[in-house]
Amino acid sequence: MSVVLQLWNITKSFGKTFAVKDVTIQVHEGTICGLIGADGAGKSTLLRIACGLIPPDTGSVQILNEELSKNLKRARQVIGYMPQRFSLYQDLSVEENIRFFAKLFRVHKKEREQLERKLYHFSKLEPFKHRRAGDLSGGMKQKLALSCTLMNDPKLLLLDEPTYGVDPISRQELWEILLELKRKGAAILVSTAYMDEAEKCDWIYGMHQGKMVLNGTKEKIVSQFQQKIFQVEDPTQQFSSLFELKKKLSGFFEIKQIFQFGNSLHIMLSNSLSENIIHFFHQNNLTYKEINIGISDAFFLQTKKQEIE
Amino acid sequence: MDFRSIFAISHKEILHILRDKRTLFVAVAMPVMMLLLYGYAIDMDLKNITVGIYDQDQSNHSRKLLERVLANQTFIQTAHLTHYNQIEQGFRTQTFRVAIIIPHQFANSLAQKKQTPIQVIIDGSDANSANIIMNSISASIQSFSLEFFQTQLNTPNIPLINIQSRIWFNEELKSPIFIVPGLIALFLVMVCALLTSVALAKEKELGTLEQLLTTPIKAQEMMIGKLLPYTLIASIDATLVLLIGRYLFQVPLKGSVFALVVYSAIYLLVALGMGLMISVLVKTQQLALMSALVATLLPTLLLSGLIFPISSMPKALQVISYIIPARWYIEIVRGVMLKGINWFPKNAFILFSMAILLITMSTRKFHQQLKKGELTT
Repeated sequence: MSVVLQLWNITKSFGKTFAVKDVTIQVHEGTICGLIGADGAGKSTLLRIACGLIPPDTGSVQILNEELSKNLKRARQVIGYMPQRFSLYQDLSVEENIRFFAKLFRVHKKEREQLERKLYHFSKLEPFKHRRAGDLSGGMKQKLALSCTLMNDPKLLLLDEPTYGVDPISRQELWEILLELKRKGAAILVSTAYMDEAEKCDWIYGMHQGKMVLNGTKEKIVSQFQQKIFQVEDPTQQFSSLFELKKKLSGFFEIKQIFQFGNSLHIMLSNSLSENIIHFFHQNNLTYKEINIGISDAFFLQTKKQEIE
Repeated sequence: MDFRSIFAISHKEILHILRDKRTLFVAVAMPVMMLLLYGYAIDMDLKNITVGIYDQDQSNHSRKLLERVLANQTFIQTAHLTHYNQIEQGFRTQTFRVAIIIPHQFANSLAQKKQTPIQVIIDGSDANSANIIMNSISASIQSFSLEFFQTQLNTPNIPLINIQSRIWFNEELKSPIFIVPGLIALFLVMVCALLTSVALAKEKELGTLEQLLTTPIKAQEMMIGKLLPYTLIASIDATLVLLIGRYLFQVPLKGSVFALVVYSAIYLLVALGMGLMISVLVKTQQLALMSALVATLLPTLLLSGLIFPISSMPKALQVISYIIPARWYIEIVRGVMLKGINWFPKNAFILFSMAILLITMSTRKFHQQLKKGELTT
């Protein structure tokens, strides 16, 4: 498996704030790398640096072992970049958008017709090809944007939150397309705010305040954390809010960390549950169970560690 | 440079224009409508000036004098006055803008060969026309008194110096002939700059530029591709406006059509360059529109010699007028159309240099922004 994208010690600041600080990333052929992190963590900046839209202050970007800044034009033939914001022409139809990008990528007519058929097939956009892009639903817009970036049959795909604002079914469909592309050998770097999407990736990078705080396969990342995690729920609503419960729980010294997860709390302990805590759970009709540590738990733990340091 | 990329951009741009009916309307109909409006509205000719007459003398002579004044249809009598009080009232109610008062002893005084005064009162609230009215009335009275003098002496051919003034290139001093070539210059620069300034700013504002920049297209290819459709629209505008000027406002075309087309093409390039420059410098469509208006409308209207002659401006403004493209183009249009002069090497050179400078500067600036990554939102 050859390396398609290699970022070495990338740093970029805007004014006095660091957007990206000393980040190193590798993306191999036939793999999906997930880039997770909160809004403002520096994911979009990193992706823009990777496709040559923004030059880094320091560090180097290599695509297929060639320095990006020196071979920008050649690199653009192999990169497909999809910005977070919908960036196609809303007043042009689906077909017109696709053909426009095909022309810019200098795809020949025969090849283009083949590609179009293929793209329509997996995006299921064929029935809508005469509809204006601005009139499409959120999910269809994203599929169209992805189709346009696939017009040059890219070896490297850089996708900035492609599932942002997309319904669950379209989200599923988009990921199926990505997995299919991966099987065909594309190297994909995708940023996402959804942890379930991160778990589908072969390799995960986690960013926090511009720095890389997580790096590895899901298994490797999870295995770094030995803590036990319990999921605690409050089905009878003994507490006015989870926040109240969190405040109560933080009184127990064995509990090292508490995170809120949807309708439940994840608590991390230094060792096993003490009698005190179990008693407290029973007293308040709280349910609890031990769960495997997930990527999100690991990410939160790591960012907490980072902040303490 | 790859022509397929240029045509891809142009094709897309044409689709945008065709889909956006408002822009299309602004692009094609606005200059025509504005030319019609301005052409008829900015009319500095004097016609139908209302006159109130207070003839106290009621003599043969006084009537002859008045006939002479009213003869050429510049003036029409709207009031016959019988009292001084009616003069002020007439001005206030705007029944007339000029009052002519002929005193009682007018005929007698003339017969006695004395200096004979008559009074002309003009509404000075419009200073410009007051001046012209004054000149016109004095001319009539002068010619009357000259004739009277000759008949009195019974020698119609006495040697008097007789000024026979003629005005060339616009014999009847019609203002459309003077104004329309200037308006052509104004609307072309305005519409072209407006359209092109928005073209790139729109892509920046909507974020589509970011996607475009990750394709292998070059900055020059994109610029040229964007300029082509607007050049086409601008040429259509130029043709329409020139045709209207020629056939509706009867502006003569004494020089060669070919020369006019070549000079207009150079001028259009300058206008497109201005639009491009603005487009590169601003980030939103609205700002682009405002900037294009500010950069073209007032400077062209006031500092190009369109209405006010450059030679009568203060020195500082004269210097500023050098950088107004319309200044150089208006000289050409008036020269070609009214005087039949086809050779303007200096003006053409200056305009061409402006166009080259603007287009290269904006392309370079765009390139810099691209390199520094300033074009992402």
